[in-house]
Amino acid sequence: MSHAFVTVQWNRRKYAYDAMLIGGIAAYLAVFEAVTRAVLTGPQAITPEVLGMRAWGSCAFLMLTAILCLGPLARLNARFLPLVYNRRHFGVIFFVVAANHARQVLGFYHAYGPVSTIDSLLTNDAVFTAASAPFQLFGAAALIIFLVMAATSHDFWQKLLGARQWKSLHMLVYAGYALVVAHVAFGALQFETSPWLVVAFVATVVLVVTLHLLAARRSTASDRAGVGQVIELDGSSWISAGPAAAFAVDRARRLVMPTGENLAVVRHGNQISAVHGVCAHQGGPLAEGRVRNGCLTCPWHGWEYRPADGQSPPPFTEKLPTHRVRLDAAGHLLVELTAQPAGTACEPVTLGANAASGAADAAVSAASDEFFVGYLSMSRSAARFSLAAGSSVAAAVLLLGAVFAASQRTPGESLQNADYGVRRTGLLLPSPYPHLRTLNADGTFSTLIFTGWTKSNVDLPATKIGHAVVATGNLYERAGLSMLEGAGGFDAATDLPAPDVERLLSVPSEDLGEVALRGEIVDSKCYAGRMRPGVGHGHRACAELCIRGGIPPVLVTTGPDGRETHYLLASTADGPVNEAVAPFAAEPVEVRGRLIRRGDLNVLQVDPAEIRRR
Amino acid sequence: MTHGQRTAHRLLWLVLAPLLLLLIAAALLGRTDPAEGSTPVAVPTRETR
Repeated sequence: MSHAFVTVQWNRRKYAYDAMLIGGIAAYLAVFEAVTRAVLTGPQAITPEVLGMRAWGSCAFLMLTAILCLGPLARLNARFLPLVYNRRHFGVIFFVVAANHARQVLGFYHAYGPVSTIDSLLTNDAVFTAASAPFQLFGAAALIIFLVMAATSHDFWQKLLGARQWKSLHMLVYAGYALVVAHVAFGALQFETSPWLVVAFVATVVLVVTLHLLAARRSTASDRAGVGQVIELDGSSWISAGPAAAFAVDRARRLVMPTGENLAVVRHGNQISAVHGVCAHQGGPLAEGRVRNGCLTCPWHGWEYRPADGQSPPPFTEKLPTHRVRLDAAGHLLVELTAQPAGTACEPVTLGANAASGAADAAVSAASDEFFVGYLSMSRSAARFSLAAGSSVAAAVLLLGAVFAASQRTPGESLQNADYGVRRTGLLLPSPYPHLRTLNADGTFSTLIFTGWTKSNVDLPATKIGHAVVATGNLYERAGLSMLEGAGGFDAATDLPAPDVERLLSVPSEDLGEVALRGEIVDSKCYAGRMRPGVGHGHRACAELCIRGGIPPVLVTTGPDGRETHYLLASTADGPVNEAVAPFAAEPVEVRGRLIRRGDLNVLQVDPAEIRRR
Repeated sequence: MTHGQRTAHRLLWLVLAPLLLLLIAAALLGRTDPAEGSTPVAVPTRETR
């Protein structure tokens, strides 16, 4: 960056705008968390990591929705322009929120596995159906677009690229928005079932689409109304802008050229000039500007141009093309079609001293006579309107956030005892996955399946396998499935009577025959309660990494009464089957295999070729 | 915005509007809950043994 550029030019209004944005984000996150914790409590509580991802992600989505609504709202009603004034800051802060959502997702779902985070992101969605579309890649692509936009949201880049290229680049926001909609539709909406959540999401999309279509229709009508009649005169082409006396003092009016380009015809006092209608800053509509301090002022950010020569007043150096003007015999203003080079002075048309002060235009504009310039003080009524509009947008966002939070699906009930205080005595066994078989007081057996601290499993000390030990770790339980996270210790259990050890060693394997089961393959650790929810498409990347890392895969079925049953997946030789089943994680599948009942454990011995997606 | 950009903007939304709604419809109609259609086997549990 050149030393000629100042990093950020702040003013009081920008500070206030940004402070309200940051305060609004904090309020949103607090509301989302409070509602979630109120609705899903106790054994159904959502894991804090997942809660964070959802809060920041939904906040980013609603911020993007608000950003996209501001533009068309301001085109439909100029009183919304104060909300557009600092929209670049809104955009950059939105990017930070979206990036934090992505950081959390990558940091939990795509990390700690046997492959790199980027590999996991790029490869975990190999199948393209609605239920397994690569929604994370949609989100990643959108984030890259928003990164480019945030990085170029500085005046340095505007000057470097020029208004036209800069605006074209920033129209990529619409592609980013489409990707975000796909990200949500093929991600969250594949798991969430609440109609309220679906309706709220669809309503935001319909709102954005409707506002843009209405603004487009109005813009088209405005262009059509502004087309002037072309006249050949003195060897050049001119376009009629109507009776000169009808132009309102210190106002601009749109004149549409046959090419479709807009000019701004400006009356300052009794002088009328015509300049190019697109602001050199961000392409703002100068025909909707006003004359202040003798300069035509852009309604978007207050950039100024002298009407007669299209130049910004010193020390600024921006220049607009100008057009020659003249009057015909009937007093109509004629504007030459051919533009003069930017900054060329053109003699303005001077109306007589008694010329009407633009009664026609004045009548049209009387209702909206206030003109907002961001760096100047705002009128009281404009400030009231802006405050009301901003508060309404913030209230709508908070309300939608509360609806999203309240509509979340329960992750299912699980028990978590994560104080590393659990000690269990039993028989240490290695297959099909490391586990501890214990004897209950009523003579039945229980199985504690082991898992490592992250997306991996523990290595059993060879000398302890088949012996009675005391294992320690964090306990997770769900629907009869018990997991010991960070299983360790494995001290010899000297207080376990020999007959009990014999009973543990002689648990029979009961062959229940060939079965075909439909359900979802999950990683047993997250399913049992480490990550709530630990099922569904949104959790797929995590499930795949967990299974690949050695966490025992489990097929979960749900009966008509909602009761869940789990089956530990093993190879036909009763060994691990992680790599082969990992690609099927978190998808609706049908699995064929031999069901073995071993103590309290259902082991489904499968040939991976017999697993198919439903 | 220039005339070209304004025209592109209008055309873009004329295309984007139905596209977004179709995309959402496809996602909603195509969604499958892995738990739906489950076929649990009646195996003895700790409680029923």
